[in-house]
Amino acid sequence: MSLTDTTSPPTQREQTASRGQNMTGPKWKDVTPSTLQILTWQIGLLVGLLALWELAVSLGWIEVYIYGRPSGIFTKAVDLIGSGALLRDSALTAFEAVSGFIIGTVTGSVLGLALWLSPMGASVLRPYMIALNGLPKIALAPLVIIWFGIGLGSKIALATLITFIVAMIAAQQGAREVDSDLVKLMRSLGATRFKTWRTVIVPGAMPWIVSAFRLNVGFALIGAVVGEYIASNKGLGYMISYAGTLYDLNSVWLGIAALMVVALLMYAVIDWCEARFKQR
Amino acid sequence: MTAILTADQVGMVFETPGRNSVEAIRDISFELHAGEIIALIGPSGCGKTTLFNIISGLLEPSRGRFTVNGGKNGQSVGYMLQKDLLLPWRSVIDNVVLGLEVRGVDKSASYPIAKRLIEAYGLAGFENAKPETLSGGMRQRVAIMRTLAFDPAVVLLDEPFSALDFQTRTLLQTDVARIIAEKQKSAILITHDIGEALTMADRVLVLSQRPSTVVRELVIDIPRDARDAVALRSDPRFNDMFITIWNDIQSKAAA
Ligand SMILES: Nc1ncnc2c1ncn2[C@@H]1O[C@H](COP(=O)(O)OP(=O)(O)O)[C@@H](O)[C@H]1O
Ligand SMILES: [Mg+2]
Repeated sequence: MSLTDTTSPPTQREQTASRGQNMTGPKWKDVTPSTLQILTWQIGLLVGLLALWELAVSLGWIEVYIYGRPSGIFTKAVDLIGSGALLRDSALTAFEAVSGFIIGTVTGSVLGLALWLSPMGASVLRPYMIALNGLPKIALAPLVIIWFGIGLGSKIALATLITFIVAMIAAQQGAREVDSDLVKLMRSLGATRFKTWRTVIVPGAMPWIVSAFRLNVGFALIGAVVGEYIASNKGLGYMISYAGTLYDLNSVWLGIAALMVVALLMYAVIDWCEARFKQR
Repeated sequence: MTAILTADQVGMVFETPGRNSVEAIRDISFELHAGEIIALIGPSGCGKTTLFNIISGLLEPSRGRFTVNGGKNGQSVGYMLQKDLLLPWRSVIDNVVLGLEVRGVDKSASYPIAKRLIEAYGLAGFENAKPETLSGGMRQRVAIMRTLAFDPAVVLLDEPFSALDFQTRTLLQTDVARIIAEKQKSAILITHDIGEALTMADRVLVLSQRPSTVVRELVIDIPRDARDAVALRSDPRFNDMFITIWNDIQSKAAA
């Protein structure tokens, strides 16, 4: 052994000696950052961007009437929250989105699941569903406004229609993705089609349906806001588009921020429902 | 001995529109006697699973017929598919009662049956556990309990242990053979594993490649309770039978 050691080239011996320091082994540490660290950076990023924005406007690098400014948005927020206008508009848009979400998602999910019960119905509807899936659903907005008028109803109808299509397609897909061996098992046990549907298809498709809930929070808000853009005199969509025509950029930003808060609240409710659903 | 299941010149041809038809099974006849375990061994794709689908009434054979206990197909057959297929959102006990539930048995009647099975076969205390918390061997036990809970006359086992590690598999082979004997069930076992067939079965049917026929019937004349996976490895009769089956499969595979 000692003979081979002394005859091996010096570089190789050096390598063996310093192993673990640089030549071999992992090149980076696999550590997960702490929550506090992450939070600090997240807040830092927001504050930093806002400060940079404010600075850029103050120094005249960018025009305030095209970009707005954080201090202006803040003043506007104090103003509109004080008068109750912001809350009123937010509540209205949230009401439209939530109503549309509930009606559209529930009916869409039920119909999509029910299609599993009728292979004939599913086959007949198939090309139509593919066409609807590909369609940018918001293109239906003008039609819905004509049919349901310029009031609250048309915004709810638009949010309902979009979320309905998304939920139906997801639920049908979810039902189709359920392991066909589970269906085989139920058949071998002598289960009826309906019993099989209730026992393995509906619960098996749930993950798909719940993920469509998440998509639909966004789609319901799009439906409500675009409806308001097109024809309305209330709501966050109206507030944003009206302020936009006046180049009141601070109000535009404030409306967008309010929309984000509404969306986050809706996601929080869904998270809560999902957690309760999983507990059972 | 009374035949509990009879296969009478069963043949199966799959007709798929726009494609060549596939003849999976040419001609298979055999009888399963009360209390007997038959092992089916054959090359992959020779129609073993198809045979089970026919016995359990999921498929209609193209030729011939199966009769189960003189009655209708599928009525008193417990079919355990290749995967354990436990419903992940149901507890162990709710998985075990599935077959009874489908037959309209109330929980007040089905739970005691399931509880007794769970306790007798080594999962006491796990009644309310979710399948994801169980090991592969435990999950397979639950699947077997689900198959036995509604008291079928014939149990069909399609490669039930193929996904398990060697030790778990060996334990379960002996256990399942014992459960089937205790419950006085008859069973057909599909397997790739000659050792498994010789450990568990009373008779082995070797199938040819697709379209399949029975090329050999081998009676294992060692009492089932005198066999265990370990003891068999040192028994010369076991060796002879192993080689016989091995040669059958090899020559069919080469053909
Ligand atoms: N529904 C089906 N339609 C067409 N061919 C099938 C169908 N089911 C099985 N087959 C064919 O029949 C043959 C036997 O399949 P299978 O019974 O699953 O074999 P094994 O279980 O012995 O491996 C295979 O060639 C397979 O492709
Ligand atoms: Mg198979």
